[in-house]
Amino acid sequence: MALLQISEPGMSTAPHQHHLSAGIDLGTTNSLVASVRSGVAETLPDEQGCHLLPSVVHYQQGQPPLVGAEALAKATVDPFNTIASIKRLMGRSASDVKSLAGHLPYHFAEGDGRVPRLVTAAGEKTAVEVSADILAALKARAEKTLGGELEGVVITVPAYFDDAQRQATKDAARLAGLKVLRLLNEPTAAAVAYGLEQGGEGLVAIYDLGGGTFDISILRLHKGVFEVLATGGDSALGGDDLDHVVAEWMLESAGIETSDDHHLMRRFMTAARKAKEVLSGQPSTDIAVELPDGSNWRGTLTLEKFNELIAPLIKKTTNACRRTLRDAGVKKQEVREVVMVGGSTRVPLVREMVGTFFGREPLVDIDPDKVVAVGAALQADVLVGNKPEGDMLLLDVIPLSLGIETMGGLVEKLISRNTTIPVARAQEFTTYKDGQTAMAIHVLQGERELVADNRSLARFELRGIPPMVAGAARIKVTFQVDADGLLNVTAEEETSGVQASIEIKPSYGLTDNEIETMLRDSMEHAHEDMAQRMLREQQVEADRVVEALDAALAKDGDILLSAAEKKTILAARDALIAARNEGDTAAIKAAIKGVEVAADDYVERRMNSNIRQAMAGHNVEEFE
Amino acid sequence: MPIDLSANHFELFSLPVSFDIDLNELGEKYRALQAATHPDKFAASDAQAQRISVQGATHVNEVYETLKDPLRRGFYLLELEGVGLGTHEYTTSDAMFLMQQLEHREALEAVTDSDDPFAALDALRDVVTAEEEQQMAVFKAAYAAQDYDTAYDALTKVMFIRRLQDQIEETEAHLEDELD
Repeated sequence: MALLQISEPGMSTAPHQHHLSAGIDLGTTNSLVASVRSGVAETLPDEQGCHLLPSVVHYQQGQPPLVGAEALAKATVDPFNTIASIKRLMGRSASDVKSLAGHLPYHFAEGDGRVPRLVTAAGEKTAVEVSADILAALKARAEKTLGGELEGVVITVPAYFDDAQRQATKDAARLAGLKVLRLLNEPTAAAVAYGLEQGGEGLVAIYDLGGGTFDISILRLHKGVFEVLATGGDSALGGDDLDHVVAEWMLESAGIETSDDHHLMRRFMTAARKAKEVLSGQPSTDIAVELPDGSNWRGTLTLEKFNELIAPLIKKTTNACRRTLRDAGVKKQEVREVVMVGGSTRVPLVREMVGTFFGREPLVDIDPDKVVAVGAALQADVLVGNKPEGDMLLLDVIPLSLGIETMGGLVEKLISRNTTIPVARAQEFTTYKDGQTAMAIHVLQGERELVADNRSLARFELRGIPPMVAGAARIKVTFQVDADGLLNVTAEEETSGVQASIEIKPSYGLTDNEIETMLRDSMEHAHEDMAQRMLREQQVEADRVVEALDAALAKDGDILLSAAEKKTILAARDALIAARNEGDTAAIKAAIKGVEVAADDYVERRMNSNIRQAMAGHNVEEFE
Repeated sequence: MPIDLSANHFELFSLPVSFDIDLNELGEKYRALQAATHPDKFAASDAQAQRISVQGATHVNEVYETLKDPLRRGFYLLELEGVGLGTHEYTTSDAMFLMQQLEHREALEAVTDSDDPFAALDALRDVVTAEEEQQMAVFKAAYAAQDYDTAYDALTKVMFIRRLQDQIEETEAHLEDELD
C-alpha cells in the first residue's frame, strides 16, 4: 500500500505533490463522498463502515445539527425538525413547494416567497443551509479519512437541474467551506465511473433514477472524450414518488382520506419504502402501520399490484428516453450500452421496462448508489491537478433552453437545450425612449412559448446607458453559460463602449449578500475565525497559482517568452510568494491579480500554441 | 483574445474554405481543439486563465456548430463573400415554393386524423427531406458559380423546410407520448 501524501498547510508547493480532492454525490435520499487514493477511486465510509450518508438533518435548539443516520432516527419522533429530501427544494420557490406539500411535511415560514424557509427548533433554515450541513458532514469525513484539507471538490447534480438548482448547490458548497472545481452532471459522472470509453467508440445511454430526480443522457464516446449529445428527464420524479403512490394505496386501503397528521404520513411513507425494498427480491410483502388510535393497519402488497401502481411513473421515464434519443438524433438500436444508475433502478419493473424499451439488458455492474460519487472523484482528481496530461475530456450540454421575455409575454429562445457548454450568445437591444438610461431583461429557462409556462431565472437591470435619442443606443448583452451550466450576463453599450452595470434579481435562490450573512453566522456558530478562514483560502489559492505557473514555465516558458517577459512574470510570482508567507489576505489577493496581469499575454500565447499543436495533429505530450 | 478571432472558422479548424467537409475529420479536430481550450484543462490555473479558457472553448463550440450544419455552413460561406443580413432579405419571394410549404403544413395538420399517422408522417418527412437536399444542391451549384443571390435564396428556403421538419418531429413526439 502506498503512503498517503499529506500536505501541511504552509508548506511550499513541490512539483508532483498529491492534491487532496473528492467527488460528492449530494443525493435526495443518500449522499456519498469518494476520493482517488493510490490511483483507485473509492467511496469513503464513516467510522461505522457506512458509505451512504442519509441526506437527513435534524435540528435542535442550541445544539449543532445531527446529520445522517442519527438524524434519520429522529424522523418519526420529531418530524418537523428532521429534514429529509431537501434536494427537492433546491432552487425552488415557495409556490413550487406548495405543489410538493404532500411529500414534504414541514412548517414553512411566511416570507417574500422567493426562498422557502423551513421552521425548525434551530431557527429558520433554507434548502441551501440544510444542504450545506450535509456537505459539511461529508467534508469532515473526507478530511479525517484523507488526513488533510480538501483543495477542491466536484459535486454532482442531476443533468436536468436548471440554473437556479445548480446555483443553489454551489451556494451550499460555499457555505460548507468547499471549493467547487466543477458541478458535474450525475449521468456523465456514471459514464466516467464505468470507464465506458475504454470499450471503444459508440453511443451509450445512462438511465439515472434517484430518490427525487430522473435523468437520461445519451453520450458519444471517443478515445477518452465523453460527448453528451442530449439529456432529458424530470427533476421532480424519483424513488420518493414510488413510495408516495404506495403510501396512497395503503391510506386508501385503510380508509383514511389524505391526512394532515404528519407523524402518520411519515409512518406510511416509511412503510411504503420498506415494502418497495422487499419487493425488489420477493413476490409479496406484509405491511403493518400503527394508526393514531393505537391499532394497526395490516395489508399485503403483491409485486403485481406494486407494478401496477408504479407503471405510469416508469412510463414517464421511458417517454423521456424516447424524446432524448430524438433530440440526440439517434435511434435506440444504435445505443451500445444502457447503464443503470440510482437506488431506484433496483426496482425490477424499472429494469424490465428500460430493458424492453432499449431492447437490451441494462448494465448494473457497479453499485448504483456509489457509481456517481466514484465518477465525480475521478474527475476531481483530474481537475485538482493530479493528472495534468490526462486525456479525459467531458463535453456536456445545457439541459433546458434559455430565453428572454419579449413583447406580449412571449419567450425568444437564445440558447437551445442540448447545446454544448460553454456557450455564449450575444443579443443587441436598443432604447425606445429619448434619454433612456436603464432597461430590464427577464431571463427564462424552459421550452414553452409563453413566459408564464417557463421558469423565471432572473431579471437583469442594466443601468448607466449613456442618454441618447430613442433607438440610437446599441446595447450588446452577452449570455454566457459556463462549464458548470451556470448563466452569466454582461452588457455593453457599443457606440460609447460604456460597460452597463447589471443588477441581478434572481427569481429564486439567495442573493450574494444573503450567502455572506449565512457564512458569517455559520462561522460564529462554529466558533471559527472568519479572517483566519479567508486567509487560509487565499493562501491555498496562491499556492495553486504558483504551482500552475511553475508547471507552465517549465514546459514552454523559454519557447513562448522573451527573457525580459519571463523576468517580469517571475518578479510577480516572487511577490506573490512573499505576500503569501507574510499572511495578509488583501495583499495575497492583490499579488494574485498581479501575477494574472503579468502573465496575461503568456496565457493567451499558451492557448494559441495548444491550438496550433492540436491542429498539427500532435498532442503537447508528444513533444516531451 | 485567446483565439485569433480574425481567423475564419475554416482556418481555426485547419480546413480549406469549402462547402464540402468531411464530418469525421471535423469531429476529430473539434475534440482536439476542445482538449486544448476546455475549462477542465485549466481548473487548477488562476482565474484569468480560466476566463480565457471559457472564451476559447465557447468560440470553438460556436465554430463547430456552424461548420457541422450544412445550412449554417452555407450562410457562413456567403458571409465570407459579404452576403448576409445587411444585403439580403431573410425570406424568399418564390411564390411556388411558399405555396408548396403551405400545402405541406396542411398535410401535417391532417396527419393526426389519418388511419396510420406514423406512416403519413414518414411519407411527409421523406418529401420534405428530398426538398431540403434539392435546395442544398441548388445552393452548392450557385455558390460555385458565384451566383450568391440564388445561393442565398436557396438557404432561406431550407430555413422554411427546417421549421417544418421541427414541427413534424414535434407532432411525432406527441403521438408517441399518447400511445398506450
